[in-house]
Amino acid sequence: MRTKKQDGLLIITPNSELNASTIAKAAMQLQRALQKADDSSAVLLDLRETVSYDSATLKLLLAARGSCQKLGLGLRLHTSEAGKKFLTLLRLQRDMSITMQEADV
Amino acid sequence: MLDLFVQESSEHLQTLEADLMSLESNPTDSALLNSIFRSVHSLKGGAGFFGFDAIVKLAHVMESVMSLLRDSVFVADQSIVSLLISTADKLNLMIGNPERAGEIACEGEISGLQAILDGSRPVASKPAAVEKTNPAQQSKHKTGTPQDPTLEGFHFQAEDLLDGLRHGHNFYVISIQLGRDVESQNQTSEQFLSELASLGTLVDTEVSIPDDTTLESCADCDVSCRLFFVTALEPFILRGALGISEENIQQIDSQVLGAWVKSNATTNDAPAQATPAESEAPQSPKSLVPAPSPVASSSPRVVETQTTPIDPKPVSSSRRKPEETIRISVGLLDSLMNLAGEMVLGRNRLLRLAGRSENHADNSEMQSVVQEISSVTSNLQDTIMRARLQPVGGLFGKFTRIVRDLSHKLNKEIQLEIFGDDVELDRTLLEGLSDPLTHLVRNSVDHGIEMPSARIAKGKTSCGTIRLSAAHLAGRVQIEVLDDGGGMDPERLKAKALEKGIITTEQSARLSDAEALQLIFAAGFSTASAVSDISGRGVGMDVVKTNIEKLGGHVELDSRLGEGTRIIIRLPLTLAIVPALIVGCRGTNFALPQINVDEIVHPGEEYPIKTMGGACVLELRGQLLPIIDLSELLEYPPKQNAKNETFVVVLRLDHVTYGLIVNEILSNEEIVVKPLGRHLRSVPYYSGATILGQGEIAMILDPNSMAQGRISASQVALNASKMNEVALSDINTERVLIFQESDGEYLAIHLKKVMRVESVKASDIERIGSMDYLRKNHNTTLRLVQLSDFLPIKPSPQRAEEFFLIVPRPPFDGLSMVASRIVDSADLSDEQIDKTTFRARGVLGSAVLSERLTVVLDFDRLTELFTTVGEETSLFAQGHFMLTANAQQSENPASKNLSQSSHDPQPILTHSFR
Repeated sequence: MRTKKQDGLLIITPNSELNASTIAKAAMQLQRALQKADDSSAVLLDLRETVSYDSATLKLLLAARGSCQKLGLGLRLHTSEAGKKFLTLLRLQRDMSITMQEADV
Repeated sequence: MLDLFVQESSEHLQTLEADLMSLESNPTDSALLNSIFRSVHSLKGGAGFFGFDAIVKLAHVMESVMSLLRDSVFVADQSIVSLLISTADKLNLMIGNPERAGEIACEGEISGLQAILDGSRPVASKPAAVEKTNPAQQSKHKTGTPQDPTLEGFHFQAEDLLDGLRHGHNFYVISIQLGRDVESQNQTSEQFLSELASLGTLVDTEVSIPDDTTLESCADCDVSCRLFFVTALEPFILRGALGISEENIQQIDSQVLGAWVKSNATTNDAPAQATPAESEAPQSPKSLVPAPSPVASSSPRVVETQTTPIDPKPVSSSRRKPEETIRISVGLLDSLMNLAGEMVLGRNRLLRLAGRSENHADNSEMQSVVQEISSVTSNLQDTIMRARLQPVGGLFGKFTRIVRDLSHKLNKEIQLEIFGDDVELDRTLLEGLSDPLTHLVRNSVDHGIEMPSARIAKGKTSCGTIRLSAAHLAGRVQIEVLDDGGGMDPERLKAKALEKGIITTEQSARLSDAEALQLIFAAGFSTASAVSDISGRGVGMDVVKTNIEKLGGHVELDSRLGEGTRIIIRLPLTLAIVPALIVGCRGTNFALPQINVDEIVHPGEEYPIKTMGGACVLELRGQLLPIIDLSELLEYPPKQNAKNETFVVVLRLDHVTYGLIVNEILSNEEIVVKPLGRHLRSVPYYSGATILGQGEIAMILDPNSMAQGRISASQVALNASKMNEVALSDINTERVLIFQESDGEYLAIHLKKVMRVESVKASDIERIGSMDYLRKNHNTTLRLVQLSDFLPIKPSPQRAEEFFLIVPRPPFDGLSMVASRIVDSADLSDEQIDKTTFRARGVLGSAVLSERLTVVLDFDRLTELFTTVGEETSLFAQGHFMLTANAQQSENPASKNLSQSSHDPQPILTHSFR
């Protein structure tokens, strides 16, 4: 996981695409990365490299959402077009700010 | 209104109990958890409406726990299920008298449930999750639509549903685990959702992972999706298209949604999700779907199309259609049944009048109208009769609880299998069956199934099986209680009966194993070494048998030591109409239930009436039968110098057979049983009254009460001892009925196989395919069998205008053999039968009877031929349910195999209790 702080935002980017085989490792890394968010008000998870979304991706997102809530952090997502479509279908965009790929973060 | 609440609540509790029983073996079954939640929720709602606070309080705390179970916060273990069952019991008591519900002590249940909610009680899975969140608030947050609890957790506006309602589309809630139900089926979640979106409209979704999941543990969990979906597709098509199973999909009643949309549009209410107070509750921490904001809840959008007519499509047949059922009182049903009975009697009189030759010649149009009225009357009666039928499942359902509780108490492992719970019986019969069946099941648990260690020592599995089944068989219902326990030891039964003085040493020596088994039906008999609160007091099996016989049924028992016990109860479908023999005594007509009539004899030289020890007896083929003179019984004044024609009707009861002297044998009729009026109920000997075809009232005689106090024990003993003497001296002599199918061979059938002989008109016979049927007054048919179709005998070229039907005893009383002439009856010994000259399947041999060579039928083999053909025909005549029903007769009820065969049907319900 790569992390970067910008304008009070902790930007976290997984090293690889999220899927069933990478989820466990990514989740652990994400947990560690969140510990660094002490002076941030929100976290932006950059999932542009994740083209295909499945239950593994969802699990990570839902767990991340819970962890952020506990830490009092907002969670935003930076997704691919396919990712946005998937999350929109599931109505997950309602309380999770989703940033399109083109957006400049 | 209150009665309705009590009735509905009782039904909810019945469902609740059955579901809780199943929950023990399926603790994570979401459909089950939802159903339990709904039952409690409905109960609470009703109680709240009436202000029964004690019920609301208890139901609320149970509902909260169910909410956590439903959300997989933890899994129900046995202790939790027991607590929930105990709570359901308390609710049951409260509902029994809701106005005094507050007096029912339920502090233990409330504190137990509250401890689960508080997280202070250990639960099966991850109680930490309970501690992290406030479960009470969490469940509060989950409060859903008042219309359908299945929609709880979803957020939508009325207008979201309008389009689907207008077009009559179907509404579903699809519940899936993405990993288990989708991705493991070689389908990606994206594909699944895209496919779903292409088939209809997703109204809302609820996506979650277990509440206690953290980033560290998330890889091991699955994602739960609940999708509120509207589509034009029917359930089975949708399931096929998505590749999901029936349990993943639940259809929502669009009538309910339509009503909600209408009221919502009118009142501008919030979309029935959460009250403002509830929406303020903190949301579930792991759900990405927030509760609606207070603003959204209190200020809903006005639905623009509030006046648009909505014609919601009814829910499919897989769910109950509330609009198609109404509640009516049993009293009203009974009144309807009585009126239908009156109509049948009126119809019978009308038919009789129309059949008179003077009317027949003058008015053929009237004949046609009478026939039409007759047909409609029969249909009306059948329909009302069906309305009284209820599935035995309601009765069977309670045994899951009984077996569970007793098996826990006795530390036994018992699996209860239930078959045929959709078989229907008249409600009066169901009520009467409840106690005897409870006794039988308790006996099986207590005495039948062995302790696990004992079973293992015998090479059995540690878990015993009790199978409770119901099936239609030849126009009757057969209930069976079978266990694979230790079975009964005939020698032990004999020893116990001897010890209790029920039989003498001599009788004990003479008893066969099969006869010894029947000892358990003797009053006061019990083999239990210790009396328990479950069984063993020796009061029961005799009462079971008596009660079943009161219902017009009978009990059979078969048991094998070490293998198990099978008890079969055969019952009529209804008690409202019974076949009866109409007899006359001093000019008054009486009805005798056909089921008790063994035979009718004309006393004389062949069957003399003798006096022995001051009592009259009939000598019947070497057997001495006690007899009762009906005119004496009814205290008619003796007739001087009058030599009356007399008949003796031989009546067979449980432990005794006796003769009833009457003056006339009038007819066989299916009579409509009418209860006796209050002023006549105390009069002995009568079980009811009926109106005969001629319009005359006839009292229905009760063979049991006639025998009580009149057939002395000594007469019974005499009968029995004489029977044994006869058995020793003339063991193989039996009575046969001699008849002809055509003008050809004489045929003989053993009388013990015959229930009755009916005279019928050819015009009453109906043909379906190649088979002939006689439709009876109620919902049964007799299949006519031409013996010449099965035996190498001369066929009848044409049936006469009137002929006879020989109806066998149950369970083959759905069949009848055609006879053109009843010749005689005679005694026939086994030695008289020539088994070599005339040989064919279904034939024992030939004998000279009534001075003619007579073919002696092997009825048991013949029934195999009849039923095999019945089955084959039913295959060709698909759609004719009458034929299919007859095919059911092919099941051999006399099967002695107690073990489960490999082609046994799978049980409809199975419950295991440890």
